[in-house]
Amino acid sequence: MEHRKRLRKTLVYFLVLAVSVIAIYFLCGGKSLNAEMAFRRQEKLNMIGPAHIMDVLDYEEDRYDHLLIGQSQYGYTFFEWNDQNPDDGVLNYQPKQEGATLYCTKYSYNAMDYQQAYLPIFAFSDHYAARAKLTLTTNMDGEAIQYVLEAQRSEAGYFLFRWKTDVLRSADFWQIQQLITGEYNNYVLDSSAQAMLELFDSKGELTETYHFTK
Amino acid sequence: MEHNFSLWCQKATEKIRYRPDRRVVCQELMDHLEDHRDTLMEQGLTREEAEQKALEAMGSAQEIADQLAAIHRPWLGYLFSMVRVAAIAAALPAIFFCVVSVWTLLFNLISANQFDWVPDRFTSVDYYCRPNVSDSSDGRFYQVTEAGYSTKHSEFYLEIRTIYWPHLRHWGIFDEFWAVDSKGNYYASIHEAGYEKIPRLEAMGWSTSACIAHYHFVIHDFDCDAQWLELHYDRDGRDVVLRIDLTGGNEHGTP
Repeated sequence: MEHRKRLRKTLVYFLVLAVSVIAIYFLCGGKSLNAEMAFRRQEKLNMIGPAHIMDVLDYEEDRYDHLLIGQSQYGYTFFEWNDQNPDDGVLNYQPKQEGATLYCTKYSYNAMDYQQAYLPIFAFSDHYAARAKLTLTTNMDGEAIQYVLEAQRSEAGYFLFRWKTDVLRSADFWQIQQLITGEYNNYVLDSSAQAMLELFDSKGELTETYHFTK
Repeated sequence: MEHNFSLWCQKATEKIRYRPDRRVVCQELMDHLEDHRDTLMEQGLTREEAEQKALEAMGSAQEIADQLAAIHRPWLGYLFSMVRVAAIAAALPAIFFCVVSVWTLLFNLISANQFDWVPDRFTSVDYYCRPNVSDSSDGRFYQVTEAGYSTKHSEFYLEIRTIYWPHLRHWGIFDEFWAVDSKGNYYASIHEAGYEKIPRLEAMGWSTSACIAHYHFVIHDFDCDAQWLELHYDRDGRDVVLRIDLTGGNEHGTP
């Protein structure tokens, strides 16, 4: 009897210990245990989501190691983090647009390798397409330049265009970022950048065309 | 002879490894010996004879010690002690943090700020109100605690207080609030406006405690004839609306 009473008391104290540790952990702003926890926490902080996780890319940017792509009811979320501290990750949100949505990250991927560096531009469409073509038009001092990018549909259902940055003018980079994400960059003097997204079915037939202007 | 009882009990329990149990068993054996002695004394024996007989009836202390050691389970005793100490050590700071959180929560709920966060050059606030309008979304509660404007500077000041759990701070949400007033003027969010010179909300700073964040805004070029100002947050399907009625405040710049 004494043995059972002691066992019960031990369990009660153990419960108190567990609850106290958890309370201290959260009251002190406890560190996320993994990247997904950090992502979900960021969603709550930003009042976004909860998003369905579409994909996670290894993201060799000098700040971040990975890029998570999520889809919520009204938009897409992009969570960039490094392995040392996922809580330092950054969450960006792009509202869904009718038909198709574009998003580009703030920083280029593979940035450590200048020859391999590119700006990832994501495209999401409401309708199925096997292939997509993205035509970007930028203007600087009256000189217009076009960039044509192509991508196959990924398994997760989005298109990833790799815009090689070693051939870009900086102003092109910023103009397209401003166009797609609305992020203002005070170096952008010309707001006439445009993007055109063409979607093709598995037979190569053009099915949809979307224009994006400022 | 009491001394003999005590010596006998100590010897009989010396092989019980968990000390608290040793004390308890020792006391039980002492009680048993004393009861037996008292019974024998009632039967007519002297005190010394009764004590001697009681000890003889218990048998060898060494044998008792061996038997007790065989049935005793010290591991549960040690576990009990360790968990108890750990639980108390963890519960004390947890209670402390909870008390601090609740205290700061209550303190911030009842405190009157009176625009003490407004810089000196804006002290010409000539209309002040405490709207106490609130709305909530995602378990977060937003309340406009102070609002007012300066006709001299055509500026509108407001403070939004948010209470949330768990204990995490984030300011990005406030960059997404935009506003309209009764005259149809649109004031862009910090995120939308960026560096553009358009009517917009502008951050003046923030303060925080355990579960409360206060975020301070100013709106430049505010139309002071507006009857109300409505703040909105509508990202990813949320719908937080805070309407500030500007008709029922105090025109003397004091709460």
